[in-house]
Amino acid sequence: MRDDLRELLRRRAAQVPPHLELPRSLTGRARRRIALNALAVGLTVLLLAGGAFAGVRAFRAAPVRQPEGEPTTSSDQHTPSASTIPVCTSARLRAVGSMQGAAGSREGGISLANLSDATCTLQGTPTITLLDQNLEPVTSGVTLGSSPPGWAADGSPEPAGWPVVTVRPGDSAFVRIRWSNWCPDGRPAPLWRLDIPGGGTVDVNGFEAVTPPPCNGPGQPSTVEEGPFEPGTGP
Amino acid sequence: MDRLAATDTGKLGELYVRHADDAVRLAYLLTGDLALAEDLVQDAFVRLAGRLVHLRDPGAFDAYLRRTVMNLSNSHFRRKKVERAYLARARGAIRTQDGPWSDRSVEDRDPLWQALGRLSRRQRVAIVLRFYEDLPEREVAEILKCRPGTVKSLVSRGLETLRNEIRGEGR
Repeated sequence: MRDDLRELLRRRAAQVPPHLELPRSLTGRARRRIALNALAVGLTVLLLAGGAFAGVRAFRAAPVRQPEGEPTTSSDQHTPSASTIPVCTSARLRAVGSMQGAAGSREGGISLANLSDATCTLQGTPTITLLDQNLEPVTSGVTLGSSPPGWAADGSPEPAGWPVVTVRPGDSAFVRIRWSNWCPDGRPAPLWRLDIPGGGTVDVNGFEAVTPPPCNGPGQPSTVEEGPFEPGTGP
Repeated sequence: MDRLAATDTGKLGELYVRHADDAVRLAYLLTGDLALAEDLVQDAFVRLAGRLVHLRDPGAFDAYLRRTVMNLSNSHFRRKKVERAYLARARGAIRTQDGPWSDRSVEDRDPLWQALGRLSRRQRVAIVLRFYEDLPEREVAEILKCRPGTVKSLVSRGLETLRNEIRGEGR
Protein backbone atom coordinates (compact mmCIF):
# COMPACT_ATOMS: atom_id res chain seq x y z
CA MET A 1 0.00 0.00 0.00
CA ARG A 2 2.77 2.43 0.92
CA ASP A 3 4.55 1.88 -2.41
CA ASP A 4 1.29 2.17 -4.32
CA LEU A 5 0.58 5.40 -2.52
CA ARG A 6 4.04 6.81 -3.27
CA GLU A 7 3.68 5.86 -6.91
CA LEU A 8 0.20 7.41 -7.11
CA LEU A 9 1.33 10.68 -5.54
CA ARG A 10 4.37 10.96 -7.83
CA ARG A 11 2.25 10.18 -10.89
CA ARG A 12 -0.37 12.75 -9.93
CA ALA A 13 2.26 15.36 -9.11
CA ALA A 14 3.81 14.83 -12.53
CA GLN A 15 0.54 15.93 -14.14
CA VAL A 16 1.16 19.48 -12.94
CA PRO A 17 2.35 21.57 -15.91
CA PRO A 18 5.65 23.46 -15.53
CA HIS A 19 5.63 27.10 -14.39
CA LEU A 20 8.16 28.93 -16.52
CA GLU A 21 7.47 32.55 -15.65
CA LEU A 22 5.69 34.73 -13.14
CA PRO A 23 2.08 35.22 -14.31
CA ARG A 24 1.22 38.81 -15.16
CA SER A 25 -1.77 38.81 -12.80
CA LEU A 26 0.46 37.67 -9.96
CA THR A 27 2.94 40.48 -10.67
CA GLY A 28 0.18 43.08 -10.28
CA ARG A 29 -1.13 41.55 -7.07
CA ALA A 30 2.39 41.28 -5.66
CA ARG A 31 3.12 44.94 -6.45
CA ARG A 32 -0.07 46.01 -4.70
CA ARG A 33 0.80 43.85 -1.71
CA ILE A 34 4.32 45.29 -1.50
CA ALA A 35 2.95 48.83 -1.76
CA LEU A 36 0.38 48.14 0.95
CA ASN A 37 3.02 46.66 3.21
CA ALA A 38 5.27 49.68 2.68
CA LEU A 39 2.32 51.97 3.42
CA ALA A 40 1.47 50.04 6.58
CA VAL A 41 5.08 50.22 7.76
CA GLY A 42 5.19 53.95 7.02
CA LEU A 43 1.96 54.61 8.90
CA THR A 44 3.15 52.53 11.84
CA VAL A 45 6.42 54.45 12.03
CA LEU A 46 4.51 57.72 11.77
CA LEU A 47 2.10 56.74 14.55
CA LEU A 48 4.93 55.57 16.80
CA ALA A 49 6.90 58.76 16.19
CA GLY A 50 3.79 60.87 16.83
CA GLY A 51 3.03 58.98 20.02
CA ALA A 52 6.60 59.31 21.24
CA PHE A 53 6.63 63.03 20.48
CA ALA A 54 3.30 63.56 22.25
CA GLY A 55 4.52 61.54 25.22
CA VAL A 56 7.73 63.51 25.55
CA ARG A 57 5.82 66.74 25.16
CA ALA A 58 3.26 65.75 27.80
CA PHE A 59 6.04 64.65 30.13
CA ARG A 60 7.87 67.95 29.75
CA ALA A 61 4.66 69.92 30.23
CA ALA A 62 3.69 68.08 33.42
CA PRO A 63 3.90 70.33 36.49
CA VAL A 64 6.54 69.59 39.09
CA ARG A 65 4.77 68.19 42.13
CA GLN A 66 5.80 69.84 45.37
CA PRO A 67 6.18 67.54 48.39
CA GLU A 68 3.65 68.21 51.11
CA GLY A 69 4.79 70.52 53.87
CA GLU A 70 7.36 72.30 51.77
CA PRO A 71 6.52 75.83 50.76
CA THR A 72 6.17 76.37 47.05
CA THR A 73 8.04 79.12 45.38
CA SER A 74 7.07 80.74 42.17
CA SER A 75 10.29 79.64 40.55
CA ASP A 76 9.53 75.97 41.25
CA GLN A 77 6.14 76.28 39.68
CA HIS A 78 7.40 78.01 36.60
CA THR A 79 10.24 75.76 35.55
CA PRO A 80 8.85 73.28 32.99
CA SER A 81 7.91 73.60 29.36
CA ALA A 82 8.65 77.27 28.94
CA SER A 83 9.53 76.75 25.29
CA THR A 84 5.98 75.72 24.40
CA ILE A 85 4.16 78.46 26.32
CA PRO A 86 3.27 81.78 24.68
CA VAL A 87 4.77 85.12 25.61
CA CYS A 88 2.79 87.27 28.08
CA THR A 89 1.24 90.12 26.15
CA SER A 90 0.15 93.42 27.66
CA ALA A 91 -3.51 92.34 27.40
CA ARG A 92 -2.80 89.58 29.92
CA LEU A 93 -0.81 91.70 32.36
CA ARG A 94 -1.46 94.24 35.06
CA ALA A 95 1.59 96.24 36.22
CA VAL A 96 1.73 97.70 39.72
CA GLY A 97 4.78 99.61 40.95
CA SER A 98 5.96 100.38 44.45
CA MET A 99 9.11 102.05 45.77
CA GLN A 100 10.55 102.99 49.08
CA GLY A 101 12.91 105.71 50.05
CA ALA A 102 16.55 104.94 50.33
CA ALA A 103 19.64 107.13 50.71
CA GLY A 104 18.80 109.73 48.10
CA SER A 105 17.10 107.26 45.82
CA ARG A 106 14.01 105.11 45.54
CA GLU A 107 14.16 101.35 45.36
CA GLY A 108 11.41 98.94 44.59
CA GLY A 109 10.02 97.43 41.46
CA ILE A 110 7.14 96.63 39.19
CA SER A 111 5.01 93.58 39.71
CA LEU A 112 3.38 92.13 36.60
CA ALA A 113 0.37 89.95 37.40
CA ASN A 114 -1.02 87.49 34.85
CA LEU A 115 -4.76 88.28 34.77
CA SER A 116 -5.57 85.78 32.03
CA ASP A 117 -6.55 82.18 32.48
CA ALA A 118 -3.54 80.85 30.57
CA THR A 119 0.08 80.47 31.51
CA CYS A 120 2.55 82.70 29.68
CA THR A 121 6.22 83.57 29.79
CA LEU A 122 8.39 86.67 30.16
CA GLN A 123 12.05 86.91 29.32
CA GLY A 124 14.62 89.68 29.17
CA THR A 125 14.31 93.28 30.33
CA PRO A 126 11.37 95.53 29.53
CA THR A 127 11.95 98.98 28.09
CA ILE A 128 10.86 101.76 30.46
CA THR A 129 9.38 104.98 29.17
CA LEU A 130 8.63 107.88 31.51
CA LEU A 131 5.70 110.08 30.46
CA ASP A 132 4.99 113.64 31.51
CA GLN A 133 1.63 114.99 32.56
CA ASN A 134 0.62 115.31 28.92
CA LEU A 135 1.47 111.65 28.40
CA GLU A 136 4.43 112.69 26.26
CA PRO A 137 7.62 110.66 26.62
CA VAL A 138 10.35 112.31 28.63
CA THR A 139 13.15 112.07 26.12
CA SER A 140 15.81 114.16 27.82
CA GLY A 141 17.29 114.31 31.28
CA VAL A 142 16.74 110.63 31.97
CA THR A 143 19.35 107.89 31.78
CA LEU A 144 18.26 104.29 31.70
CA GLY A 145 20.63 101.71 33.13
CA SER A 146 20.57 98.11 34.09
CA SER A 147 20.81 96.41 37.44
CA PRO A 148 21.08 92.76 38.45
CA PRO A 149 17.92 90.84 39.32
CA GLY A 150 16.79 90.87 42.93
CA TRP A 151 17.80 87.25 43.58
CA ALA A 152 21.36 87.98 42.43
CA ALA A 153 21.57 91.14 44.53
CA ASP A 154 20.36 89.18 47.56
CA GLY A 155 22.77 86.30 46.92
CA SER A 156 19.87 83.90 46.47
CA PRO A 157 20.14 80.92 44.10
CA GLU A 158 19.10 81.40 40.53
CA PRO A 159 15.43 80.48 40.05
CA ALA A 160 14.76 77.35 38.01
CA GLY A 161 14.16 78.10 34.34
CA TRP A 162 15.52 81.63 34.53
CA PRO A 163 15.97 83.79 32.42
CA VAL A 164 12.58 82.53 31.21
CA VAL A 165 9.90 83.34 33.77
CA THR A 166 6.75 81.29 33.45
CA VAL A 167 3.75 83.08 34.88
CA ARG A 168 0.70 81.01 35.71
CA PRO A 169 -2.74 82.62 35.89
CA GLY A 170 -2.87 84.77 39.02
CA ASP A 171 0.90 84.64 39.55
CA SER A 172 3.30 87.51 39.03
CA ALA A 173 6.70 88.36 37.65
CA PHE A 174 8.81 91.19 38.97
CA VAL A 175 11.17 93.83 37.63
CA ARG A 176 13.56 95.46 40.08
CA ILE A 177 13.83 99.31 39.83
CA ARG A 178 16.20 101.81 41.34
CA TRP A 179 15.42 105.46 40.63
CA SER A 180 17.44 108.53 41.65
CA ASN A 181 17.98 112.29 41.07
CA TRP A 182 14.66 113.65 39.87
CA CYS A 183 15.26 117.36 39.25
CA PRO A 184 14.26 119.97 40.03
CA ASP A 185 12.78 119.20 43.40
CA GLY A 186 9.03 119.40 43.29
CA ARG A 187 8.87 118.33 39.68
CA PRO A 188 5.70 116.26 39.18
CA ALA A 189 6.23 112.52 39.23
CA PRO A 190 6.16 110.94 35.79
CA LEU A 191 3.93 108.12 34.60
CA TRP A 192 5.65 104.86 33.85
CA ARG A 193 5.12 102.64 30.85
CA LEU A 194 6.70 99.27 30.13
CA ASP A 195 7.39 97.85 26.72
CA ILE A 196 7.24 94.05 27.08
CA PRO A 197 9.59 92.25 24.65
CA GLY A 198 7.28 90.83 22.01
CA GLY A 199 4.19 91.65 24.06
CA GLY A 200 3.23 95.33 23.61
CA THR A 201 3.13 98.08 26.23
CA VAL A 202 1.55 98.18 29.62
CA ASP A 203 1.07 101.23 31.90
CA VAL A 204 2.26 100.97 35.48
CA ASN A 205 -0.11 101.81 38.31
CA GLY A 206 0.94 102.77 41.82
CA PHE A 207 3.94 105.00 41.10
CA GLU A 208 1.76 108.08 41.26
CA ALA A 209 1.64 107.60 45.00
CA VAL A 210 5.44 107.46 45.26
CA THR A 211 7.34 110.58 46.15
CA PRO A 212 10.09 111.03 43.52
CA PRO A 213 13.71 110.83 44.63
CA PRO A 214 15.39 114.12 45.68
CA CYS A 215 17.39 116.18 43.25
CA ASN A 216 20.88 115.48 44.53
CA GLY A 217 22.67 116.44 41.31
CA PRO A 218 21.10 119.48 39.66
CA GLY A 219 21.86 119.49 35.97
CA GLN A 220 22.52 115.79 36.12
CA PRO A 221 20.10 113.37 34.46
CA SER A 222 17.69 111.30 36.46
CA THR A 223 18.78 107.68 36.59
CA VAL A 224 16.51 104.70 36.28
CA GLU A 225 18.13 101.27 36.71
CA GLU A 226 16.09 98.21 36.03
CA GLY A 227 16.64 94.53 36.31
CA PRO A 228 15.36 91.71 34.12
CA PHE A 229 12.12 89.81 34.69
CA GLU A 230 12.30 87.44 37.62
CA PRO A 231 9.73 85.22 39.29
CA GLY A 232 7.61 86.38 42.21
CA THR A 233 6.42 89.72 43.50
CA GLY A 234 9.73 91.12 44.67
CA PRO A 235 11.25 91.42 48.11
CA MET B 1 8.33 52.67 -3.54
CA ASP B 2 8.02 51.74 -7.24
CA ARG B 3 11.73 50.85 -7.37
CA LEU B 4 11.35 48.76 -4.23
CA ALA B 5 8.35 47.00 -5.71
CA ALA B 6 10.21 46.39 -8.98
CA THR B 7 13.18 44.91 -7.13
CA ASP B 8 10.96 42.70 -5.04
CA THR B 9 8.84 41.52 -7.96
CA GLY B 10 12.04 40.70 -9.88
CA LYS B 11 13.18 38.62 -6.95
CA LEU B 12 9.71 37.11 -6.71
CA GLY B 13 9.88 36.09 -10.40
CA GLU B 14 13.10 34.16 -9.78
CA LEU B 15 11.62 32.43 -6.74
CA TYR B 16 8.43 31.62 -8.63
CA VAL B 17 10.22 29.91 -11.50
CA ARG B 18 12.33 27.93 -9.03
CA HIS B 19 9.64 26.90 -6.53
CA ALA B 20 6.18 27.18 -8.14
CA ASP B 21 6.16 23.66 -9.63
CA ASP B 22 6.83 21.99 -6.28
CA ALA B 23 4.33 24.21 -4.50
CA VAL B 24 1.54 23.55 -7.03
CA ARG B 25 2.20 19.80 -6.89
CA LEU B 26 1.91 19.82 -3.12
CA ALA B 27 -1.25 21.95 -3.23
CA TYR B 28 -2.72 19.65 -5.88
CA LEU B 29 -2.10 16.55 -3.80
CA LEU B 30 -3.65 18.24 -0.77
CA THR B 31 -6.72 19.53 -2.56
CA GLY B 32 -7.18 17.20 -5.53
CA ASP B 33 -8.02 20.24 -7.63
CA LEU B 34 -5.38 21.59 -10.01
CA ALA B 35 -7.09 24.96 -10.57
CA LEU B 36 -7.54 25.44 -6.84
CA ALA B 37 -3.90 24.45 -6.31
CA GLU B 38 -2.76 27.12 -8.77
CA ASP B 39 -4.88 29.72 -6.97
CA LEU B 40 -3.56 28.76 -3.56
CA VAL B 41 0.03 28.95 -4.73
CA GLN B 42 -0.53 32.35 -6.33
CA ASP B 43 -2.06 33.55 -3.06
CA ALA B 44 0.95 32.19 -1.22
CA PHE B 45 3.38 34.05 -3.49
CA VAL B 46 1.41 37.27 -3.09
CA ARG B 47 1.58 36.91 0.68
CA LEU B 48 5.28 36.20 0.59
CA ALA B 49 5.94 39.10 -1.82
CA GLY B 50 5.39 41.58 1.00
CA ARG B 51 7.81 39.75 3.26
CA LEU B 52 10.73 39.17 0.92
CA VAL B 53 12.76 41.93 2.58
CA HIS B 54 12.57 39.99 5.84
CA LEU B 55 13.78 36.76 4.23
CA ARG B 56 17.36 36.52 5.50
CA ASP B 57 18.01 32.95 4.39
CA PRO B 58 16.95 32.34 0.75
CA GLY B 59 17.31 28.61 1.43
CA ALA B 60 14.45 28.86 3.90
CA PHE B 61 12.04 30.05 1.23
CA ASP B 62 11.06 26.52 0.26
CA ALA B 63 9.93 25.66 3.79
CA TYR B 64 8.30 29.05 4.16
CA LEU B 65 6.34 28.57 0.94
CA ARG B 66 5.31 25.04 1.89
CA ARG B 67 4.03 26.27 5.24
CA THR B 68 2.08 29.09 3.58
CA VAL B 69 0.52 26.72 1.02
CA MET B 70 -0.45 24.39 3.86
CA ASN B 71 -2.05 27.20 5.82
CA LEU B 72 -3.97 28.49 2.82
CA SER B 73 -5.13 24.98 2.01
CA ASN B 74 -6.32 24.50 5.60
CA SER B 75 -8.15 27.84 5.46
CA HIS B 76 -9.79 26.80 2.21
CA PHE B 77 -11.08 23.51 3.67
CA ARG B 78 -12.25 25.22 6.85
CA ARG B 79 -14.27 27.65 4.74
CA LYS B 80 -15.67 24.80 2.68
CA LYS B 81 -16.62 22.93 5.84
CA VAL B 82 -18.50 25.93 7.14
CA GLU B 83 -20.25 26.33 3.79
CA ARG B 84 -21.22 22.66 3.73
CA ALA B 85 -22.50 22.80 7.30
CA TYR B 86 -24.58 25.84 6.45
CA LEU B 87 -26.02 24.23 3.33
CA ALA B 88 -26.71 21.00 5.22
CA ARG B 89 -28.59 22.88 7.93
CA ALA B 90 -30.48 24.80 5.29
CA ARG B 91 -31.56 21.53 3.69
CA GLY B 92 -32.43 19.97 7.02
CA ALA B 93 -29.70 17.41 6.65
CA ILE B 94 -27.87 16.08 9.68
CA ARG B 95 -24.60 14.86 8.27
CA THR B 96 -21.67 17.20 7.90
CA GLN B 97 -18.19 15.88 7.51
CA ASP B 98 -14.73 16.85 6.41
CA GLY B 99 -15.72 15.80 2.93
CA PRO B 100 -13.79 14.59 -0.08
CA TRP B 101 -12.30 16.95 -2.61
CA SER B 102 -15.05 18.15 -4.79
CA ASP B 103 -13.86 18.37 -8.36
CA ARG B 104 -13.02 14.80 -9.14
CA SER B 105 -13.36 14.34 -12.79
CA VAL B 106 -15.96 11.87 -13.90
CA GLU B 107 -13.29 10.16 -15.94
CA ASP B 108 -10.99 9.95 -12.94
CA ARG B 109 -11.59 6.38 -11.89
CA ASP B 110 -8.36 5.73 -9.94
CA PRO B 111 -9.74 4.08 -6.76
CA LEU B 112 -6.75 4.96 -4.60
CA TRP B 113 -6.91 8.59 -5.67
CA GLN B 114 -10.66 8.61 -4.97
CA ALA B 115 -10.09 7.03 -1.57
CA LEU B 116 -7.37 9.55 -0.74
CA GLY B 117 -9.86 12.29 -1.43
CA ARG B 118 -12.30 10.82 1.08
CA LEU B 119 -9.81 10.89 3.96
CA SER B 120 -10.11 13.53 6.63
CA ARG B 121 -8.07 16.66 5.90
CA ARG B 122 -5.50 15.96 8.60
CA GLN B 123 -5.04 12.35 7.54
CA ARG B 124 -4.59 13.42 3.91
CA VAL B 125 -2.07 16.11 4.86
CA ALA B 126 -0.10 13.69 7.03
CA ILE B 127 0.01 11.09 4.26
CA VAL B 128 1.00 13.53 1.53
CA LEU B 129 3.76 15.05 3.66
CA ARG B 130 5.06 11.64 4.71
CA PHE B 131 4.84 9.76 1.38
CA TYR B 132 5.28 12.53 -1.17
CA GLU B 133 7.41 15.14 0.58
CA ASP B 134 9.19 12.39 2.58
CA LEU B 135 9.18 14.59 5.67
CA PRO B 136 10.00 12.93 8.99
CA GLU B 137 7.18 12.64 11.53
CA ARG B 138 8.73 15.41 13.63
CA GLU B 139 8.48 17.96 10.78
CA VAL B 140 4.97 16.86 9.85
CA ALA B 141 4.03 17.29 13.50
CA GLU B 142 5.39 20.84 13.46
CA ILE B 143 3.35 21.68 10.37
CA LEU B 144 0.18 20.11 11.77
CA LYS B 145 0.90 21.62 15.21
CA CYS B 146 0.57 18.28 16.97
CA ARG B 147 2.81 15.66 18.56
CA PRO B 148 4.80 13.17 16.44
CA GLY B 149 2.74 10.39 17.99
CA THR B 150 -0.40 12.00 16.59
CA VAL B 151 1.17 12.08 13.12
CA LYS B 152 1.98 8.39 13.42
CA SER B 153 -1.62 7.71 14.36
CA LEU B 154 -3.01 9.88 11.54
CA VAL B 155 -0.85 8.09 8.95
CA SER B 156 -1.67 4.67 10.33
CA ARG B 157 -5.41 5.27 10.40
CA GLY B 158 -5.30 6.91 6.99
CA LEU B 159 -3.55 3.93 5.48
CA GLU B 160 -6.02 1.60 7.17
CA THR B 161 -8.92 3.59 5.73
CA LEU B 162 -7.36 3.52 2.26
CA ARG B 163 -6.88 -0.25 2.48
CA ASN B 164 -10.49 -0.73 3.54
CA GLU B 165 -11.75 1.52 0.77
CA ILE B 166 -9.74 -0.30 -1.90
CA ARG B 167 -10.91 -3.69 -0.59
CA GLY B 168 -14.50 -2.45 -0.54
CA GLU B 169 -14.33 -1.19 -4.10
CA GLY B 170 -12.63 -4.41 -5.25
CA ARG B 171 -15.53 -6.55 -4.12
